Amino acid sequence: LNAKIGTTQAAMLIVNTILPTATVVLPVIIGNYAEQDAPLAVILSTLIGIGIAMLAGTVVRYTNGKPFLDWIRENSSPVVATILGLLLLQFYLDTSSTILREFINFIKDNVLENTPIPVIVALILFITIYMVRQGIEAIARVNSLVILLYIVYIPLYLFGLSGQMNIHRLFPIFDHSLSELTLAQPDAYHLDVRSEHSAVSHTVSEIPAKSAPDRGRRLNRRILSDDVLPDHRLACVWPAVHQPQLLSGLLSRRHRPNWKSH
Amino acid sequence: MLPIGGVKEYKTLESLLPMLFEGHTLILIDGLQIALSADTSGWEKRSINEPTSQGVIRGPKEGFTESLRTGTSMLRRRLKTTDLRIEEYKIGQRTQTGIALVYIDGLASDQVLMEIRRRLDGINTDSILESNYIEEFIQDGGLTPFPTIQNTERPDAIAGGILEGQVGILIDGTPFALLAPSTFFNFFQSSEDYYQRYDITSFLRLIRYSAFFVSMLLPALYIAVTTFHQEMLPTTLLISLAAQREGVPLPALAEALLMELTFDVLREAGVRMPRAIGPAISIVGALVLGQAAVQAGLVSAAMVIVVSFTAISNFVIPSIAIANSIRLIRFIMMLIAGTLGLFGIMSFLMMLLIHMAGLRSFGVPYLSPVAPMTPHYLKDIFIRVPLWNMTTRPKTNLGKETRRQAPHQMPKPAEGNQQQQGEDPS
Repeated sequence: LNAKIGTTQAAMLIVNTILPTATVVLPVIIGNYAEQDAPLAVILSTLIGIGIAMLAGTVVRYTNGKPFLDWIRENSSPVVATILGLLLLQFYLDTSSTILREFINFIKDNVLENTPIPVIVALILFITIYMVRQGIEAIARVNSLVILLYIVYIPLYLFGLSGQMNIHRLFPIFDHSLSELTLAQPDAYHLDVRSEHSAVSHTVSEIPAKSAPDRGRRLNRRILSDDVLPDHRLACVWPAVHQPQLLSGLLSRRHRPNWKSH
Repeated sequence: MLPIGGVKEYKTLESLLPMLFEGHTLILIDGLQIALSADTSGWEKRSINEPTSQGVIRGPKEGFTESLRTGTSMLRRRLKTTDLRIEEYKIGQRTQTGIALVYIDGLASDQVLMEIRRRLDGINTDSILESNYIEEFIQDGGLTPFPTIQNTERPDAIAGGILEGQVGILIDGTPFALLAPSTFFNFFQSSEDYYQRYDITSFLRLIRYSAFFVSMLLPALYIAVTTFHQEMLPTTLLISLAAQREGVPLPALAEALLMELTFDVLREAGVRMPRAIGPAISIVGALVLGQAAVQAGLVSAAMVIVVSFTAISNFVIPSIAIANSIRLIRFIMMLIAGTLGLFGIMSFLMMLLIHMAGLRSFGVPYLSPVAPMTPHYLKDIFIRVPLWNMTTRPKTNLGKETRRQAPHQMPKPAEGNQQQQGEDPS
């Protein structure tokens, strides 16, 4: 995993981390609670996500770019940092398992109706392991190609759905109570917090990048390398790869990738 | 007095004897501790002919021969620069095959050169009989189905590559020379692309990429759609296909495998058979196997069309090396399509993509300049822009000097000429 990717590639990775969850998993969950007010729940969860990302950005800035767990370790104790790391690990395991299951359900219901679930799980995990073994560099390259495909895919998608789009289905607005919207958004937030947090952290870090490019870039790399990537790695690969180094990497940051531009 | 070129001094018998085996004349003088070797070798060699594997309609019609010296002289004829460097190696303990590393100093990357030299020095074998021996010993990704070094028997292709910062490797005893580093997209470029107009070249490039996907995916897609995803087909087409397959006793996967294997057998037989009876193969393949198999109800007519179109698409790709890779991948694709349908195809495509994204050719990412994306160097990848617009060399080869010509060379009429030409002569 010791590879180099550029900031643009990292940003594209984050976009693609959000999009599949946002398109496959979230609409069903949010729609259950908020129905036509689902966009409001999404906006609400986005605002909370931005708030948390800003908080994370502030902490990173406050700690002069030090990784969160390192900062905790220095300011409290290694035990607290380890417990926090394990809690984070549990959170990401839980999240990625849910996402995996939702994706498999989607495939099972829509594409491979007769294929046993273990076969689909094995296939997806096998591909995931292979991708992770190839490293972040190869993943980022494939990701940039996939984003290129959006030029074809998104207009086609919108064209196909144009007949189904009806603004009146979003009315009456504010038909659901705040409690229902609140019920909808934690699920959305829970499932997508990793991606949104990462994405918004990135955006926040761009602000100093414009005013003080060097500092901003440093901060940017720090946020990306310390927040996004371990999360991303863990979320993607932990159940499959199960490498002890990953946990130690989370705690010690020895496996931090080098975010140098090409 | 008889003037002879290539005279060298040797002090040991071990260094002297190989020269004797190369046809040199040895001069040993009593009382002297050195011996002289004079190049009087006169090997029988084939004359220069048109390349048989990479023909062009417009462009040079000469190809390399088995003689290393002829090859280097053909390159020198095209590259009359003092920066052209030719480094010679002898590899193979028993064959002592001559290898020439050809590059332009200042264009080729030092890192790439160093790596190629290191890998060549590391070869420890008793024989090198063809360029593939070298290719397999030095190429990246030993277990990948994709070639990471180009091979060609065209001196103009090697010269073009060298001018873009690549390094040519000529091997004595074979007309096929190597070019490294090579990215995936290099295998879709033909030397003829630069000998004809940019618009038709661009069109042909797109055709080649389409052919690549057709060649790799068409039988697999046919199997997946007819086996698992019939709902994707328009009703009339579905009825037509169902009617054709009605009497076929085999499932689509077995049918496709049978036809593809038959085609590969025919193809291999066509290569091995004497030229005089070669056309018989096409008659047997097209008429006897194709038509008779359909009439006998062993395979459907649609499958014959799919296999034929796949085969023709495979020949559109200019590089035989990558066309052969696709032949293997196609079979895996078909097996996956027969078991997991379109989802399997997409999954395997994703794996292939990630595999290619992780590949490197002497340090150069295999999918560059697309991934990682360098938009500035896409001018000669999917399409080819006019030559006057290609002011820089592609950076993928990590060459040092990127500019190759002056900018703003788009042809324009001279100042004032346009007005004069537009005036009525009366």
